[in-house]
Amino acid sequence: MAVLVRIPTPLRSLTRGAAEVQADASNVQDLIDVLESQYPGLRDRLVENGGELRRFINIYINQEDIRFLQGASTTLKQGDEVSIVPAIAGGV
Amino acid sequence: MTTIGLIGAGRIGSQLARLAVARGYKVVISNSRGPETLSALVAELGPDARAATPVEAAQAGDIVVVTVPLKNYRTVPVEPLTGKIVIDTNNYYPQRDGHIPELDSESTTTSELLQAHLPASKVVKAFNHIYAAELTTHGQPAGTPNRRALVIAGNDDAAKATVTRLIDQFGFDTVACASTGNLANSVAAHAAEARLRSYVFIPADLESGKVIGTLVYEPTVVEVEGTYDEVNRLCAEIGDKYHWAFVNINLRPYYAEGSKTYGYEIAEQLGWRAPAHVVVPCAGGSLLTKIAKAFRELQDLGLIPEGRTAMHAAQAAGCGPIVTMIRNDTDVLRPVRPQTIAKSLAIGNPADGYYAYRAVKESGGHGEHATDEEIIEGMRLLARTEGIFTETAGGVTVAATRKLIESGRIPRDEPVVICITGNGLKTPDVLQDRLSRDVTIRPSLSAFDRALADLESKTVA
Repeated sequence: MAVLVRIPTPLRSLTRGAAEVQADASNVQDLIDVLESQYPGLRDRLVENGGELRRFINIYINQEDIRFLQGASTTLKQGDEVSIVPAIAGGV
Repeated sequence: MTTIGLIGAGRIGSQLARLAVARGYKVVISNSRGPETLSALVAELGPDARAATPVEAAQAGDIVVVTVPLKNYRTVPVEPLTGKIVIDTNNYYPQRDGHIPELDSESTTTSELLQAHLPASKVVKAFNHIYAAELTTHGQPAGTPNRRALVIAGNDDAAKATVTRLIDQFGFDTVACASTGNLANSVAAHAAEARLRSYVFIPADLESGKVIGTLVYEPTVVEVEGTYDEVNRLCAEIGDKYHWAFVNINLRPYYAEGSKTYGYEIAEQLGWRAPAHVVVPCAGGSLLTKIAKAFRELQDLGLIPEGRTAMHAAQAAGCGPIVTMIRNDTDVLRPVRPQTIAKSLAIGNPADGYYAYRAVKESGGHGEHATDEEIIEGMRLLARTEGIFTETAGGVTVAATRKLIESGRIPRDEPVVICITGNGLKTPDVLQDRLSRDVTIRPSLSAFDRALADLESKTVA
């Protein structure tokens, strides 16, 4: 499924400056693999060695945190918008 | 004509030289490799620029920019910079600079190192948190909507004012924040005083007291139809796209370090010592973490005696992911969807959750949740026993403290400080149906006599 992926500023050095990229993937896990093949080095910035999503990386599909969906196995539909957002900050 | 001297002509230095020449300054640039290596840059900059040695640049500049790899700061000439404003753009990159122990231990800062090297100069930190390329592309004239802001830091007010004017000429100015209400008040107020354009993003369901306390400063308020976590995610994306200065997102290091002042004030008010226990309300988790850091730094500096302060976390039962980590003894944060009257603490995906968890564990502290009922009772308890009217977040802290004492986590005979972080007038709605007025009378003494007798008979009964 072709999806739009928003890349945060700190990772754009790996996407040759692109803020948004297109990728074809069936679920989030697959998407990370596809992004890695298009932009080598990106996977390492998103997941730990063991394959777990890094603590300060948040992934949203159409504005919904994937931890409220099925995590890395959440399936992707044609036209989904995926946002990668590093550590969201708050108050107090 | 003002001359700007540059010591260092790397990515930031060459960009600042371009901006300075474009704004009518003369520039004298230098680097460690010699003036002849700068001929291409000088040719590009034109007749108002020349290359020189670092000493000559320091002598020629009315304002001097130090923009060298941090490890080389001791090579900056001292004597020619006496009495001058020195703009410090340096950041610490251990992979480039090697480890600098006093920075690793957080006992000093990069600018304090430079200031110590240049004791007779006025060091102002600036231009260290913007990509070099954006210096020449993101600047806009004053008054432009969405103008980007840059932050500065320094000890000399006149020097900071001069650097602020320089940045303004270079074209930057918008500050913003994502807020559950209290930060919105502060950002809007400070932006008003500093004449900065400000954008404040809040959840649309915020208490009216907090919204009015922001609107009065006339920022642009953007109400977002969603939870605070959604506001926060949106703001992270907006910050990326519009290059605004979100004080609690892309400028978070400054915001977080500022939170240490809460710890400093606690120590100061206790006569320069830290208490045995502190109970801190947690939303994003930053405040608890930074109060712990403040005590640690004060101890390292010898300003307070050595000793451990147990840090305890207070959260609402309807939004308590950090306390859940503590109680389940796991460092994995599970985000939640907030369901609580304590809206200023309603962050289901706290950025500093892991750090707050770690600070609590390392300090021997614990955490407690408070239900909505317990929050309201906490607000009332604090008012009727201490004469302090707090908002719902303070009610959370009081209720959690009570539970920590009842469970023995906080022994009854040990000093405890609880952090009451907001005024009750911001969230009066939750008490509206809980409090009743006692009596209404005509303006006559006899009416009051009867009312008093009536009231006293009720009290006795």
